[in-house]
Amino acid sequence: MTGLEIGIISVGAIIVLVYSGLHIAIALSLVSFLSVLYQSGSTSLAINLLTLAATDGIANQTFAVIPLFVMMGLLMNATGVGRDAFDVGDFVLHRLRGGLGLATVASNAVFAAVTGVSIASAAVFTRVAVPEMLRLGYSPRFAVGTVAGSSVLGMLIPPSVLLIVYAIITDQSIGRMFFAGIGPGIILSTVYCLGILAMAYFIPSMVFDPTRKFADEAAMGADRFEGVTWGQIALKLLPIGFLIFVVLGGIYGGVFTPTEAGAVGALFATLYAVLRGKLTLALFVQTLRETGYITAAVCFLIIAATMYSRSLAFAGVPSEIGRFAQTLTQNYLVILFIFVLIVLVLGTIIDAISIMLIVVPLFLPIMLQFGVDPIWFGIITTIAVEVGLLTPPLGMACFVIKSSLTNKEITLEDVFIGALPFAAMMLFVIGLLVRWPHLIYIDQWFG
Amino acid sequence: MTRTHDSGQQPKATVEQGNLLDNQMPEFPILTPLARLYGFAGAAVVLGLLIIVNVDVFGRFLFNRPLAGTLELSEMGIVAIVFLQLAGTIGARRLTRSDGFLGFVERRRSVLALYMRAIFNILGAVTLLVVAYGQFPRLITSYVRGYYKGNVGIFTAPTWPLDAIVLTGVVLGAVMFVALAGVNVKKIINEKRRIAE
Amino acid sequence: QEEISIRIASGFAPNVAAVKILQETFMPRVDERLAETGNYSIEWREAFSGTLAQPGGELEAIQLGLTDIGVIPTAFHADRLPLYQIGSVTPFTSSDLVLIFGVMDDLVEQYQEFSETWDPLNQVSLAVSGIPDNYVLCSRVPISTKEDVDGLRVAGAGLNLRWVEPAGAVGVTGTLANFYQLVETGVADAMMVWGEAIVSLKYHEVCPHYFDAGMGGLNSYVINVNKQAWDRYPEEVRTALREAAVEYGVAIGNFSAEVGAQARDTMLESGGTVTELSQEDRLAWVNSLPPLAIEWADALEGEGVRAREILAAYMEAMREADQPVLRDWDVE
Ligand code: NA
Ligand code: NA
Repeated sequence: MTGLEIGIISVGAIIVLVYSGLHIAIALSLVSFLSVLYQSGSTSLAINLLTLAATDGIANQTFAVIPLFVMMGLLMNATGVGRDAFDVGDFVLHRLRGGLGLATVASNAVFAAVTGVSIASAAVFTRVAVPEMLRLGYSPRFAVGTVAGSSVLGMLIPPSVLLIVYAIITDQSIGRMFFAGIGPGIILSTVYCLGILAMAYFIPSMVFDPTRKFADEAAMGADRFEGVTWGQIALKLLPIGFLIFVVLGGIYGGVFTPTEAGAVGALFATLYAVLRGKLTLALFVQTLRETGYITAAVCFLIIAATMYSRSLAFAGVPSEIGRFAQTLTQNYLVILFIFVLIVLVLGTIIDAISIMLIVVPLFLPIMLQFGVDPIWFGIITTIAVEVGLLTPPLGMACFVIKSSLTNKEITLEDVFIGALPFAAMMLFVIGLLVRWPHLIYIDQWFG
Repeated sequence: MTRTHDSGQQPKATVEQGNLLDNQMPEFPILTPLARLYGFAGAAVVLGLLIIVNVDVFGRFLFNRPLAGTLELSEMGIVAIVFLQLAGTIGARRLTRSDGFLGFVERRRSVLALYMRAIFNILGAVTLLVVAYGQFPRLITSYVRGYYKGNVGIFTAPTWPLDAIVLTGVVLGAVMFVALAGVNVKKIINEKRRIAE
Repeated sequence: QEEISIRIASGFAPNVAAVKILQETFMPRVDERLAETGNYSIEWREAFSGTLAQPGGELEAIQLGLTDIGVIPTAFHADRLPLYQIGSVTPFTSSDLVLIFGVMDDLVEQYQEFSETWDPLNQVSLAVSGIPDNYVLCSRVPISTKEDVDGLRVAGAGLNLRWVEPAGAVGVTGTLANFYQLVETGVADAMMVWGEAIVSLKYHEVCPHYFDAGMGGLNSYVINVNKQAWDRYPEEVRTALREAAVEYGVAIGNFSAEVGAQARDTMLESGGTVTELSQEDRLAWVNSLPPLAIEWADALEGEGVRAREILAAYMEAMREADQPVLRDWDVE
């Protein structure tokens, strides 16, 4: 059997097992085990593949910051910092149709400036934005879909763990990668907003729930912002503004690195919670434990994805894909198209960081032959990889949203379906950046 | 209908509402208290990570005194957190899965769905035991040979405690899977008895 | 003709010298040697860029048989490979990598302690190699004297921070991957790297000032083969692998020297400065260091390893080859 055949069969097995309901990490480990056992005929080798990935798959600093970013997100949720940012967006945008959707996107874009992982954004805004949208008659799918789609901004707008990983594996400057994330982050947010407006005005059934099942009719009729002044709203921007100042100021002022920002952000979020009198010892312990649970669920998946990507490497799949792509054509747009396609397919079952580790070293040399800017390629890759956060069966952002939802009538399928238009808009943005590559540099937007 | 947990009860994992994670874990004798203990240890490592990174950052910036070993300890800490929390994550049914199809089967043939759940839990146990089997000799070697992370003269930390956490963490996780499978089997027996009556 | 399939792995990507020279020298040389008789040919299965093992994970991947051959960065394994750390306890000795590798390979052959290191790790070591030919400080501000180093925050990879801390530098532990970022943001003022890294990783963009204190270089890699795989290979293939591994060391040593020499020009072109420490200051510096090598040797002697003898042989070879040797590390 060729590597490619092993790859295809194992993908099929994983999809069947995952959809039958086997835990995703178990499905990935089990298939990796069987694949290596089949190829090598050695049980001990297959066992060791799993054990080694379990111990070294996440043992580096890039992953060590995940719990700290998650903790910062939980604390910002507990202290209402995320909620305040959302309220500001709501106040400013509530006269537009689909205004809450716009507010979710806008506040997520701001929140992205302090978080390095999308799962933190997804967890916070599920608690903040979804109940409010349901109360005001938005469709549940739109509500969770908007949160899923805009959580992607967390890893496109710096600081971002994904941009750091790309910079590391390609020897690019992390600073420049970060800078190149700002423009596309703004473009994606804008496209989301235009898409939401288009849906709200032209296909309202996609945005609003005609049955108003979860709606609070009284709230819908009333002017929610009666008596609210701009001054009060401005005050709500202070806490998030302060955190952005601490995080960005710290990074660009030479106090700490973007990876360390998670720890400093979590510390300041803790201090803020204490000052606001919102943090009891019990709540603090619960936050730590919740952080541990989310970290364990996410990192165990990353470990299993590492096992699987190593079993693919063992079968020689990455180099076969690379050779295949190279021989296929000499047209760079076609190769880019194939690249994005491969990333999207892998994105259905492998986690974002592993995909980067697998495909970037294969394709970057090919891309460089065409004189492509590696930073631009990194941004394209990042967005394409992030689409995978939204696609079934393995869609991390959707999982986090599902597990953070308090309304249990909304299913995982609802989240995936709701996120679909946003995944489509991400592809549209990739198209824009391919057509006008200089768009990634915000300083080149206006001449 | 999809849920991210096995039984009909709802996970309430919101921090602001008070964390009811522990109540989601079925009360198995010895096992559940042990998983809870590991969970607290995992939470302590999260706190430790928060503290050492900040001490390093501010020590370096304010006093030119970075904390030696921060890099090594964070790399070890993240692994420790995952394996200390694993059994609890499994017990609280928060290990990620897509159970749309299971729910569908459940509504038509509840016994079949229970069989599936039992098999999946056993598969989980087997997988974790495979990891444990490979990890056992690694623990012995790292203990006997005194493996460490870091550099002599600057900072060193022995790796065997971490290897022990990984080993006991996956074993505890496997036992938790078996216990959950036991619950499934018990339900199957009750269900069959009910149908027979 | 018999075709032998060999899986070859590294945590590094092909743009890093370790893998680049594998592809440009090691693998082709093996193929060429075998083509001479035509008895065997190799089907290479590449697993680079960490697809099979992270940087530092190669040792266990070879040990467990996940890969047949791999390049191991020895500095990551001070616990498992203490003998191979000899370079990091003998700074200010030599910057001739090809010489260092040759001396090391001779020691490996002469003292069975080296191969005994590998036996429990289930692998066979082919040859010593490495990349840092001469550690320099790449700094945001110009440095010209030993005093300028006092209070400087220096990003380094670990053990070699002990070379600069006695001069008053504050060590910031990092990896090659985050040095750029550490210095760019100002978290660190300088980094401890070698010329090839400055050029390849564009460090001159963030720290254009090059300061050479004559710290010298060291062995940092070995090419190893899994024991079971090794036992399977015919004698002819084994010989080809060994010889090509030695050639790999020569090629990467020359590459490091060549690109390293460019680093000075690159610095000047990017508006920086190039300074060298006076001989007087060098001596003061090296003599301010603790007896690193003796401490290292004594710890190993405690485990029954003839480390003092090995150290003496290493230093003697360096003196014989007329290397700078600013301190006789083997003398107390
Ligand atoms: Na971000
Ligand atoms: Na996906």
